[in-house]
Amino acid sequence: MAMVKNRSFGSRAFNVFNYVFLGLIGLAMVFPLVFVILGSFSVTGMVGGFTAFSWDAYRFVFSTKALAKSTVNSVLITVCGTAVNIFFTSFTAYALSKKFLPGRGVLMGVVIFFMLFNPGMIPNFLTVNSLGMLDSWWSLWLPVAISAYNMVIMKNFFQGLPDSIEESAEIDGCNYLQVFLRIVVPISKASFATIILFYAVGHWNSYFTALLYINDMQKWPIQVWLRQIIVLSVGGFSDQDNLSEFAKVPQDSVKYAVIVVSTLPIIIVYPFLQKYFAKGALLGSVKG
Amino acid sequence: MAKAQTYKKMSFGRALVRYKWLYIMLIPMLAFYLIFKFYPATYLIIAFQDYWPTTGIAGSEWVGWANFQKIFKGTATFSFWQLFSNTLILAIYNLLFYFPIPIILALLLNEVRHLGYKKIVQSFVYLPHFLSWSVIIGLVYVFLGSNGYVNKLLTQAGRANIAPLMDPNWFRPLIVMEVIWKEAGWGTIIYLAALSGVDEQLYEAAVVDGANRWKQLLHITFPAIRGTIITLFILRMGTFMDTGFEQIFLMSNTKNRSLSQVFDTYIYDQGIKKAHYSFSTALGIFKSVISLILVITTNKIANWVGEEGVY
Repeated sequence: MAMVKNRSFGSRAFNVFNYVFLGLIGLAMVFPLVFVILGSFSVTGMVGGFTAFSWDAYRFVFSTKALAKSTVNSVLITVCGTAVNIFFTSFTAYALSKKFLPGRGVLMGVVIFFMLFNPGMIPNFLTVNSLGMLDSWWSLWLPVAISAYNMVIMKNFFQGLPDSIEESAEIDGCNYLQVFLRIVVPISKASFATIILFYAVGHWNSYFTALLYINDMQKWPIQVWLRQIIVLSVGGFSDQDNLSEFAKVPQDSVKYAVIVVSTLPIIIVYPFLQKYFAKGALLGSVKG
Repeated sequence: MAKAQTYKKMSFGRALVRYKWLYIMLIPMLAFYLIFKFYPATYLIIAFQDYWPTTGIAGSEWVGWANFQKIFKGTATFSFWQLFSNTLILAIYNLLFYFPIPIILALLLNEVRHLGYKKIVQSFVYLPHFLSWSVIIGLVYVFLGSNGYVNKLLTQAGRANIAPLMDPNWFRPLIVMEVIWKEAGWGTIIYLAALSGVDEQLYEAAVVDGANRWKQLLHITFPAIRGTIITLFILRMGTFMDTGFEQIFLMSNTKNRSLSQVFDTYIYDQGIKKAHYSFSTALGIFKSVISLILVITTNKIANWVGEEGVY
């Protein structure tokens, strides 16, 4: 396109419109977040604009037991959940990347079948219930241990590695597990990073599974508290001794701060997300 | 290739020994699929029972198609047609008002020749995709809620307050606008990839032939992504009935219940909250069957009009 020069008036007018229009769209996409970040530091909750800077909203958020705890919960759920994902997904992807392995076709068939067919909310719930995992974080980790989509992306990556590395290791007496851990993992860091990001964002943002499987408020992730505080307006500040403190902080700033806290990890890793996810989105759509 | 040939001669027993470690590495995967995919699937049978967890599948009474009949008959709290039309209308709204937006956005982005500007716009519009629904609905509430920022401004200006979140008429438009905000940017990626594959020479030749940019768009750019559009359309049909459960669940309240009750929220309400396991499982199966029919039909139509389809 860049080579084609077209200097008609209509063409130039369109360019101007297009640049302005896309710029506005782009701003509309980031404005709410920027506003909320500013608002969380504003003493008035942005009413009358940003007048003065203050940490009070955050000081309050982390002084309440419920919110501080749920932030820690979210971090633990994300870190451990991603570790479970990586264990299950990378082992599966590596073994299934060996095209010569008898039985591989059947297993890939199973994977594809359950990509298209989900037993549904109630059967999944009854399963978790019958395993005694309700109210345990295992219910947030094990039922989603393998995402077929991520596993296929990783399998395709392993298939692209040269066979020669592994063959020489085999001659040296390494078994497949040793080859995987000592040779394949170290040379596949980029692939692992991508999949770790995929899973971690999923766990951090996950809201409904926690609502479904976790009744104990002490174990809730921050996404569930977010709804309690903002959508249901039930407060969520269970410790009464803090209410006097709450009266001094503008309520809006606190709400903004809760949104910021529950988005912060995403914003921090966003530059990496953009790079890897765009690639992943295409891989997934091309390979199916 | 050498390996593939040896495998053909190898018995499964010998393969088990030869590739022992690969099979050991597959044990977690086998356990996962057995426990969290096959085992839940066996619970589908309770759609034909009057199931209760303490008595189990073996001890529960068989009721034939009674649960499915109940779907059509409706209950005191819902009518089938209300549920069906709520789901369908939201799906149609998303299809009409959301589906074309990424295509238009991708076409506009494709016309931007300044690569730096294009990159900046892209990194802005991709961002909302990574926010959770609870954050996005939270944002909607802090702006448009009864105590939200917009109302604070209106009060300051001495104007009457608004309450779109409590107004059923605003429910569907808000749902669609949220979807557009979250996914429109991200949705451009696949179209932009298809557009990047277009041969530059086609455009150069078109210019020589005197085609303006509109003509180029119509005859070169658009045909290049037509296949992608159809594929995505069919894939969308598969999730047609899913209508973004988390989003609708978070947006629904007592005021808009008559419009916000869709299959998924009703399954949650009946199955999880009221413990009507058999009825809600039947409802889930019913929903899956409709989805399947929709995919197959759309694919057939696509084939019929001479397009490739997804299978």
